[in-house]
Amino acid sequence: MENAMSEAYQGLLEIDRIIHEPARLLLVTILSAVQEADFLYLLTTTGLTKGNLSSHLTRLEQAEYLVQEKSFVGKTPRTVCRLTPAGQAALASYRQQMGAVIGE
Amino acid sequence: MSEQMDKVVKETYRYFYVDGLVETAVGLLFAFIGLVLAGWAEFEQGSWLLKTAVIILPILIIGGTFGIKWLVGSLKERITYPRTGYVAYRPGEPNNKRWLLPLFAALLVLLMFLFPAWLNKMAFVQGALLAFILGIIGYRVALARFYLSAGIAFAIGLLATLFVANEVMGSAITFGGTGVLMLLMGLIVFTTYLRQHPIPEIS
Repeated sequence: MENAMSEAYQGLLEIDRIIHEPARLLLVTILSAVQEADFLYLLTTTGLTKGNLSSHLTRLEQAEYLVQEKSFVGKTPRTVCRLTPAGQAALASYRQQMGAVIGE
Repeated sequence: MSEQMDKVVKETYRYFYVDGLVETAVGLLFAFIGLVLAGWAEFEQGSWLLKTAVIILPILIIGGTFGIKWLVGSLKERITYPRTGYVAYRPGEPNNKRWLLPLFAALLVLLMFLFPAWLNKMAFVQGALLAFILGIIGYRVALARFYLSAGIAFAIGLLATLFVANEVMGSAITFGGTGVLMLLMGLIVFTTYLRQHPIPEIS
C-alpha cells in the first residue's frame, strides 16, 4: 500500500516544473505547433506583459527548451523563438505524465 | 487539459487565416479560372480566343498556385507581421491539404477531355469538391466562415448543374461564384483586421 502511494506521489513530483507553470505551458504549446514565432506574436496571443513574457522565455531558454534569435527585418528588430527538440520532448513527456495523473 | 492544449494549437493554425489574405488571393484565382472557363464556353470553336483560353487555364492553375504562395507571403511580411507578429509554420502546416488544389484542378481538366459526357454534372462535382476542401480547412482551424464558403460553393455547383445548360459555363459559374464569394469574404476580414490591429509602436 505504502509503495503504491509512493509511486503515485512520485508521478506528481516528477512533473516538469518549468513547463508546468501556466504561462510557460501556453508558450511551449504555441511554439510546438509552429516552426518559429516572434516575440510580438507571443505577446499579442498570450496577453502577457513584455517583461513577463521576456522572463518566461529566458527561463525556457535556460532550460534549453527554446532558442531565441534576434535579427532585423529592414529596420525593424525581430526576436524569433523556436522550440528545441528537448523542448518538444519535454512537452510530450509532460502531456503523457499529466494524462496519467488526471486520467485522460 | 489535453483538449485545451489542442485548442491552443488550432488557434495557432488559425492565425494563418486571421488577415483574410489567403481567401482574397485564392478567391481571385478562382474568379480568374471562372472567367477563363466562361471564355472557353462562349468563344467560337477553333477561334484563337478559345485556343488561348485552353492554353491559359493550366498555366493559370499551376502559376496561380505558386503565385499565391509568394503573394500571400510578401503581403503578410508587410502587413500582418508588423501588426500581430510573425509565425512560420512547418512545411505542410497549417493546411497540409494544400496539394489537393492543383491535383483537383488537373484532374478536372483531364476529366473534361476524357469524359465529355460527365460534363453535364461537372459543376456539381466541382462545387462538392470545393465544399469538401473548404470544409476540411474550416474543421482543421475551427473557423466558421470556411463552413459558410463550403456551403455556398456546394449550392452554386448544384444550381449551376440544374439551371445552366452549357456545361463549361456551369463550371465557370461554380468557380467564378465561389471565387468572388471568397474574395469578398477575404476583403471584409482583411479590412476588419486592419481596423482592429494598428501597427504597434516599437519599444
